[in-house]
Amino acid sequence: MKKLIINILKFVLFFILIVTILGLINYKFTYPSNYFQLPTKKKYVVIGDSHTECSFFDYNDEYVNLSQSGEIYFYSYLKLKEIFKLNKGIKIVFIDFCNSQIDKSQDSFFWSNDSYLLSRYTIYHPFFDYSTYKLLLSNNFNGTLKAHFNSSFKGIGNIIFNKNVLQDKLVGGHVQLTSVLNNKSINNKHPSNSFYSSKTNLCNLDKIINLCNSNNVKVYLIRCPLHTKWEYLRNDQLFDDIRKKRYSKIDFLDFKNFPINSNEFADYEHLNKHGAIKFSSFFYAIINENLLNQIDKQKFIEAKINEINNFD
Amino acid sequence: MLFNSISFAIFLPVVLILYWSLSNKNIRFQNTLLLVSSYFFYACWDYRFLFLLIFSTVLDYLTGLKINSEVSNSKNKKIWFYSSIFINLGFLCIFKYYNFFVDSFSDALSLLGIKVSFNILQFVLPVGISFYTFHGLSYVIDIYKGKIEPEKNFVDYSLFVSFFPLLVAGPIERASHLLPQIKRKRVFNYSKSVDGLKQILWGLFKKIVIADNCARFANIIFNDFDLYPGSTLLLGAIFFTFQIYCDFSGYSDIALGVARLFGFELLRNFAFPYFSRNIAEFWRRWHISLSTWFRDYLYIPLGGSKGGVFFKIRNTFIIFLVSGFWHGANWTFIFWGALNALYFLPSLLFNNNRNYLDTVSKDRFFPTIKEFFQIIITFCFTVFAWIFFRSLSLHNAFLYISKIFSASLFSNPYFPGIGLTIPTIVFTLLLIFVEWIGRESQYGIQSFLLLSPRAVRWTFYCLIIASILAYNGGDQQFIYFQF
Repeated sequence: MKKLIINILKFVLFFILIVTILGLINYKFTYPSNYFQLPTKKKYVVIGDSHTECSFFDYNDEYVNLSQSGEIYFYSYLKLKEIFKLNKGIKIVFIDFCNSQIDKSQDSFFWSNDSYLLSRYTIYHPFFDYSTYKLLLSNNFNGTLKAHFNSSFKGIGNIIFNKNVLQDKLVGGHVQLTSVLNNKSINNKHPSNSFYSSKTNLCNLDKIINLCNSNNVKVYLIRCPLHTKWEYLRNDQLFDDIRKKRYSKIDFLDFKNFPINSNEFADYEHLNKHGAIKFSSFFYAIINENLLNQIDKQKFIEAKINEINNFD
Repeated sequence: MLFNSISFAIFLPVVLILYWSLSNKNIRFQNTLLLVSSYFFYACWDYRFLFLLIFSTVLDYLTGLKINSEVSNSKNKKIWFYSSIFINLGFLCIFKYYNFFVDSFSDALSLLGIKVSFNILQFVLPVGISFYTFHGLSYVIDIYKGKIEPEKNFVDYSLFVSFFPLLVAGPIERASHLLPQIKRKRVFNYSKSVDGLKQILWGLFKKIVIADNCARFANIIFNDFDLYPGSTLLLGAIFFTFQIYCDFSGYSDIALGVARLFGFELLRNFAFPYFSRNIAEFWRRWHISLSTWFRDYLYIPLGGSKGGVFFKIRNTFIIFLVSGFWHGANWTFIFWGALNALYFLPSLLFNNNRNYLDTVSKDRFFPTIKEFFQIIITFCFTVFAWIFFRSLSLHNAFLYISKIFSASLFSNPYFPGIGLTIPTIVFTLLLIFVEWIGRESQYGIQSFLLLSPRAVRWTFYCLIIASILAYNGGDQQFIYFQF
């Protein structure tokens, strides 16, 4: 019995070694070193989740939208970290900051959704540090192990079949939605009227801001146009409190009230193709009118919105 | 407490360490510990039915003693014997078949224009009742026929009925095989323990990686079969074929492996049935403990294959129909049994049913062309029969089959959740490869890489564990728990 227990312990150590080797194989052989290299002209980066993913098309060679649906700030941070290493020409980052991202549900979304964890783990785990593994393993041990081994096997499969594990979509980019808001659009992901602020997600936003500062990159928080009936607008007071208390020193460009017709929304929180063209055109126009050098940027934005409303 | 659960992963080492720490003591302590652990294991499923299990155990224990003591009084002996059979089968029928009989009777009357309604009883089926009932029945029957002596020690007998590795889904043990092991002192054996751990690992791989993932696709396809083309339905049937094999044989592997850790050798339940060359061989290799039970306690007493053609056909149909019925209270299981009887009859009538007693392609890697086609054809027949087993009703089964054999059979199949389909197919092919190589062993990986260096073997085991962790197909119940 003693011999069995000793050999089991030896096997466990051997298993840990194999786990580590599998992780290294996945990273070393399937991640091209220049994956985050952008064309040199890029100066302006838009980053965030599906809100900015749908709202901003790439205006010209200087702008790039690296937003991705479902991306929490943790992954945006890892992405930006790698981008800054390889792209020293980036000057400005626009970060999506809206009502859903300050919500506590973003924290559990990070680790409790196995499918989400699996999809992100495959791409980002080479950039995880000890604290990230600790966070994931302590909150979702089974899901994290599953994601680790799943991505390792995918990596081995990609080596054997000489495939790049990373699809071009995975870094992010503008997505055009063609659907139109209707009665079947979902607006009940948060049925409760009680909202609590996120801990982990906001800490990662802090990290993004610090990262940008340390790379001499100017940060702007940006809220894209939202439908007035979007359920998360119920936490607007909390959103405002957090923004004022925590991010008072960061410029906030609020386009929540930009006039978008219902048929220009894909659902209550995302612009469709028509809405994106309308909003993006406006956004880039006011950038060219020197929005970023205004003392009171929000007043400037509202004035421009009023011009549109009066014109209509 | 599922075998593939965290709670079992804690339960097993605790019991194992306590068990072997008592190995120097009286064997009574070991058997009592195992019995208490087994009752605890069963109570984790549903403590209410623990009383039924204990009642059944006490009944058969006393029956055995009484039958043996009434040797001179054959009338009393028969009373005890038939009472035990009646009560045991009575419980089984009530819990498992009451609603089925009521519904079928009601449907039959409505065909005659008579409308009646009976009370449907909302019974929860006690886990393992089909299995431990058959344990008890085989014990009582063997005593009645004078094949074995009754067990006087109640703890030992109770352990025979309730030993936790085989309690909820078999294999269906025989008193003559397991009781002597219970009464014999067990000595820890390192090689057997390692062998047991390997068999558990292989069983977990079959269950978690293959069966559970095949189940996902099979369920999607079978539940909405009218939405898919024939090619996809065929795929669904094949997925289910591997699901049921890997689920049940995986469970049996875990049960045998766990028992071996405690120094017990249980009856083998599966011997690579999908490599069979004909249906008769398939039934010698599939759910062996059940088919031999029916052979010894039903088929042979009915006359077996002795007598004329009529008796052979009759007995064959009875066995397969009862076997189908044992699986569940649905006409689909009965039809599945009847279909297998039809498959089996030609072999029996032409005296080919005792062919192919050895392993296919023995001492060769590649099968002959004849063997290859025999295996494929037998597999196809099996897949066809499983459609009835899986379908919710006969009507659905026939619709399913008619869609397969339609023009849409030649359309491109739809792979639900393609991201997971490909790994499932890859692992299934790996299973076939490993089990083909290991077909002369007790289980797939028993002799796999045995001559290779330890690092190579351990790497292989690590990759199996990694695949179990990576491709966990969700908490799918073991199929045979419902029987």
